[in-house]
Amino acid sequence: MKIGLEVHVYLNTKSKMYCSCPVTEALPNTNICPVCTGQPGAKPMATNMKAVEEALIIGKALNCKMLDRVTTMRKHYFYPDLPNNYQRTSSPFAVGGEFMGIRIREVHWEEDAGRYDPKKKTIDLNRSGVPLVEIVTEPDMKSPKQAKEFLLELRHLLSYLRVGRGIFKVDTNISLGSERVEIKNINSIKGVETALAYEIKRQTKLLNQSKKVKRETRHFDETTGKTVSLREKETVEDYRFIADPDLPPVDIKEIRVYLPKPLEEVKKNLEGLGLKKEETNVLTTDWKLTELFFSLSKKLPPQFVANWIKTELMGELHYRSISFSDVEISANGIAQLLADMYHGKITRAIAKRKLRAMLDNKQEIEMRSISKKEVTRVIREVIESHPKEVKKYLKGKTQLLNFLVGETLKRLDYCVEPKEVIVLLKNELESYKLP
Amino acid sequence: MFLRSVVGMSKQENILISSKDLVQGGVNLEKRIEKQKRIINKLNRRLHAFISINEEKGEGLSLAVKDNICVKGMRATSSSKILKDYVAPYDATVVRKCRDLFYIIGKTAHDPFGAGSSGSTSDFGVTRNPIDESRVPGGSSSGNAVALATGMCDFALGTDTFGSVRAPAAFCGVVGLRPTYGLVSRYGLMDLCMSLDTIGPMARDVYGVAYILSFITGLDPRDCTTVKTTKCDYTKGLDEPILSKSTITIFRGLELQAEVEDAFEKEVERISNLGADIREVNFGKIKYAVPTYYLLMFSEFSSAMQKFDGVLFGEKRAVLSEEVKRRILLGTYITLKEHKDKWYSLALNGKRVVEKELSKIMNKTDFILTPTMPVLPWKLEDELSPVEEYMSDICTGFPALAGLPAISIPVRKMIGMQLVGKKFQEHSLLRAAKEMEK
Repeated sequence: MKIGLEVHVYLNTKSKMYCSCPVTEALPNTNICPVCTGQPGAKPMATNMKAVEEALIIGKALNCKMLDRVTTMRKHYFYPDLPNNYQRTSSPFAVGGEFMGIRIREVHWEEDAGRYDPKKKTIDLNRSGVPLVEIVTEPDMKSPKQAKEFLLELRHLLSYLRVGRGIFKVDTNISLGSERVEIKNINSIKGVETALAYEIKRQTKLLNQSKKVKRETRHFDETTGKTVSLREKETVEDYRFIADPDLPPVDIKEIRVYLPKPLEEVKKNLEGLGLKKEETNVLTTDWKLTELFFSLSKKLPPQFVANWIKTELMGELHYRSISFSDVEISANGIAQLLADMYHGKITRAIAKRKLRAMLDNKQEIEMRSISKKEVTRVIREVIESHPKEVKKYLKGKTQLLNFLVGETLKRLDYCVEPKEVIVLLKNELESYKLP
Repeated sequence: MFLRSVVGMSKQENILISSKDLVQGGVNLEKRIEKQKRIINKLNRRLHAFISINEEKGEGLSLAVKDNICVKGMRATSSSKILKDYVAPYDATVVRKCRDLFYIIGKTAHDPFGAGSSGSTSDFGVTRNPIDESRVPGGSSSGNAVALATGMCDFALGTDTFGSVRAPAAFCGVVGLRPTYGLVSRYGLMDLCMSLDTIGPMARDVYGVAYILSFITGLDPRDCTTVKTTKCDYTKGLDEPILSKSTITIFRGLELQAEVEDAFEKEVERISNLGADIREVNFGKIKYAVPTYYLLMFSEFSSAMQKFDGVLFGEKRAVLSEEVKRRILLGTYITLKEHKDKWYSLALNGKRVVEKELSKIMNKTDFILTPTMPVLPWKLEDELSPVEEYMSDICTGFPALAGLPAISIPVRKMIGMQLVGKKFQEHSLLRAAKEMEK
């Protein structure tokens, strides 16, 4: 069995590939201009260099040989979502790479097409001209599971490199020995695995019945998990490629991009520190996070730092639906905070509060020291204002204690250790128990 | 001269004022525009120079814009029925640069998408040569040349891919310049052969052409092929003689019609008397410019025309003219994988050969002089075969293929001379043309 992938990765740029329209989500046909709607007479602007830089990072990280000059080609085909009826796609800029034991045939950049809805008969051109790279592998994968693992690792690599928007579109091809079948436009990694598994079942059945597998292109239906025939390939499609006369070739030899330490090496280093695979994965979601970890663990035990990043920092980021690359926090600030917490100068709760202030860019509120009397007063307030929960707790629903602790901490601005609150709260609740 | 006879025909007196007089003031431009609109009203039904007229009142020097150049809010049909109701949503860069001083009087006819040398094949009516209405006006920027010759406008923006500004200038007795490729932004110019397309100024005299050129040059982020140049006033020092200090190359082996040959020989004698050093070389490999161009243009044109599929723009493809369809089909054919090496690669190679040959010649000369067209304008009823028509580009073609600037100036009734200059040396080229101008 041979499986190959063509992975389209959306690049993380502000504007489109050949015009200055933004790439953000918007109402249909609002992020458009004469260039990306193919108005007669409109010419492409120079290739978006931010996109090119990201593309080069990807090519290098996939261990490819980088070429010197890249020509923009016009790939001609007719489709309603393609205003010019040709797509601009670069000649390969990186070739002969390797990742996860899979050979990378080539990488090139291209512009996306718009969105066509055949049922509603509408075309939205906001996506037209959005920068992508396409990574083409050799058919080296032997199972749907291996294809899935390759894609998961690739996604992790791109996240580590801080490139791309984490969104994939995948075309895959599979051959069980005779003819090659291509499955187009799969929008999720899980979809790739499902589509390939379905295809194996379908083709095996045909072969068992001594029927022929046709060379064709199939479409994957995400809702049913099945593939359906799109077109048979009697001959190879002819896109009539020509160099785009409106765009001079891009000389990429002189472009310098920053590449962090190779991911594999970093993972080995982390494992060498005794960290678990799960922790290693979290710490390498972003090379800046990895660097933060190494700088923090110079003075503090690696396991302590890893735990804090995994639970506290990632928890807070997750709560805000952002990733580490979205925030600007000072490494010194975090180092101080962690050291203080480790040496018992501040409580875990206070450290959390300080971290939140950092993430939300808030002025730090003066820390208060709170007396037992004050804590007890607040606990009583909480009990008074939550009679239902208290009643349930007293009837035996003990997990509600956590809720009441949380409420109390909130009212105390997290300036008290939870342990202390639990003891006092339990005491208080005792007095409410019916004889 | 012959322009006066055109005016006699239209019975408009004093309408053909020199560009310099118009630019230097003293003429009531608002009244002049009204007068020019009256001439358009009277003559356009017969001559078909304009496709759209600007209905809004305005003041400024009257500028006609070829209909394959976008003017925001005005129709841009490219003279083709496929775009008959297309209103441009933006200004071409050249239009934006001209807006302050010029009044866009209307959009002019041409061969659809610039695909033609006769200038008479607009989908909206036959454009005629005002000097002899039974003859073609030359193309493709025919409407501009007709409008200038009859006083319907004073300045014009045309487009030149392989002679489209110079051919009609020669046939109608006006001046047209093809600038160096990269000097003037093509943003807003509808594609014919993108690697050669240029926008060029047209006027009744060299001064007028130099005047417009001063406004439209410069680097444009909206056209990656433009080059950074220092802005300059091309009318400055225009009257200073240059020919006596110049070497001018002419070709052996160019086949010319007798009247054209005679005019050319007289002109060579005249500039020789003005002190120019004349040098003669073989036309040789430069003859490959025409077949090379047509292969390249078919290929690029078929790519550019893909967008007209009836979905986003305009009408169904069936309404395209025969010549446009021929070019799309030939271009599609020669860019197919199986034919590419035989045709498209051959054309790319041909371009390199011609460029190399011309660069050798230009290293040893200041200018090349040829007639603009090898023939007189042919009769409208003479149906030229496509190849016969393509061959009429023999003189205007080679400078375009090598990206060189070239200007056509009138010397006799319906005959123009072409002067080719060095890249980005428009100032010298215009000075030489001014000195040759009668």
